[in-house]
Amino acid sequence: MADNTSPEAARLPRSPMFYGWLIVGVCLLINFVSLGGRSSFTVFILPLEADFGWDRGAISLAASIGLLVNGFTQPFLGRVYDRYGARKVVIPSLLILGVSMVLLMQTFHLLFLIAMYGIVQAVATSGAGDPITGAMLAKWFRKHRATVLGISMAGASIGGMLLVPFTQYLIDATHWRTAWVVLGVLVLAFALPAAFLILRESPDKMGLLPDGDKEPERVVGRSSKRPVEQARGPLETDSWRRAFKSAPIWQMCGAYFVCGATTAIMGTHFVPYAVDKGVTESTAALAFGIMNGLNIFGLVGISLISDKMGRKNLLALVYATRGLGYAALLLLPGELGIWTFVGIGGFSWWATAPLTTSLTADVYGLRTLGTMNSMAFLAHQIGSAAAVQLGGEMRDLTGSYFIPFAIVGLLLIPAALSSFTIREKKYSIRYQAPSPSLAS
Amino acid sequence: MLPIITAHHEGAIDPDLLDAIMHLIDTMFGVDGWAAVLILGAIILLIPISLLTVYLYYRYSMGSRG
Repeated sequence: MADNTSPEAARLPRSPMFYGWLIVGVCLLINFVSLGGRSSFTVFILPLEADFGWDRGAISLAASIGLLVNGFTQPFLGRVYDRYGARKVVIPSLLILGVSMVLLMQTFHLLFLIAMYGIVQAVATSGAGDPITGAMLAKWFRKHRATVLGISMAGASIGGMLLVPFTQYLIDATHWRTAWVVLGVLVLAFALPAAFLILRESPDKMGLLPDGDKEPERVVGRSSKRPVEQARGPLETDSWRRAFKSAPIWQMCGAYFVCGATTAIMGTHFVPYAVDKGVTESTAALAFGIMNGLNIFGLVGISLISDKMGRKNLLALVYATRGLGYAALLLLPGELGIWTFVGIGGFSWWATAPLTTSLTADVYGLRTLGTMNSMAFLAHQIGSAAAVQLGGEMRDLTGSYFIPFAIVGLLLIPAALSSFTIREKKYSIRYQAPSPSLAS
Repeated sequence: MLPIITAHHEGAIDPDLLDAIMHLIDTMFGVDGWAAVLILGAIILLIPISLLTVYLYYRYSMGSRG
């Protein structure tokens, strides 16, 4: 039988599987321990209150500071990633994250908690955060980019679902100080070695091609075909400042701000709202748990679909769907509103993240993706913080959550329109260099 | 108000909501504290152990192919 393999393909190393899938696995693990571990802070609040007599507001200060530090340091660490690569950011960040978790067992003063959780750990979480691992994954996959980002980000969701109850049971069985040590050991003994052994910057550093392709993808040019690696989209840039002079990044950041607002306000105010509507706390908790389960399917399913078709229409659809969920929640009575919201909204909860990262990579390229992702993340976190505050303040003023929920829900309309009007076909590299999945 | 959140990236959920979810899990599965720690701990460890096993298999396969 004739060997049709091109000389370029013949030079590629033969391996039992594409190494990029190991990168996906390690990114999932990093998101699992770092973001899932951070989510576990909730279960330390009551024991800290009991042991030190601190009130909830004081403990929340550490979480609030952590949120801000995380949001505002992310762009700087994204810039460091763009310049020096993932290993030099992620591995030290995991080391610091693990050590700071272990050190939290020594908590003796509120300032110690704020310094360790609110500052040190928040910076470390930025360094190992999904804006950075997502930017690295985008180098490893082109045709399956959104799918692998969705799988990797599902690690954070699974981490929340497993690590939060695990930590709660551990605190009940032992002590909160022991629980911090166990969380730290999970990072230091598993995530850190896995990252050290497995993380590689990009496929070309290993003599591989994105997606594990055997042949370089070709751009159909006017006179000749050239590898897609050499192709540039119209907005591809080496400068994030230049990127912010174009419309798509503003459209995505604006929508992402709304995304942060609409998810965060529910995380904090869902139970009181449900109780206001005459729904019991246990029903609200069940609904919220099911919604978190559905969002894993939505996250991976929508990412998978977006690799087969365009991204911006799906992104708009996700925002519009969430808007419908909000409308159902506000307009339908009692439990019917809650369950309709869960059914409609659950699928859209996390799906914006891989779509936004993929679209940013497709439009602006990979050279400044760490910084660009991080800026979008900052917009998301500002939206989150603003909406949580708005929810509480308006509830105090009006005695109801209707107005703040309606405000953030209505913002989903411009978010959907903003996403829908992104000129993906004009700017995305996927439409400059047709891949087999798009061409078929 | 507790200004901590559940987001795509990092954050924590409302402790009252968490308390209700934990109560629900207890009611549904009826396991005691240590059993839950061991079951959840085993599931959690499965993730890094599986990943490292696949990585070692990859290295072994690449090594055996010269």
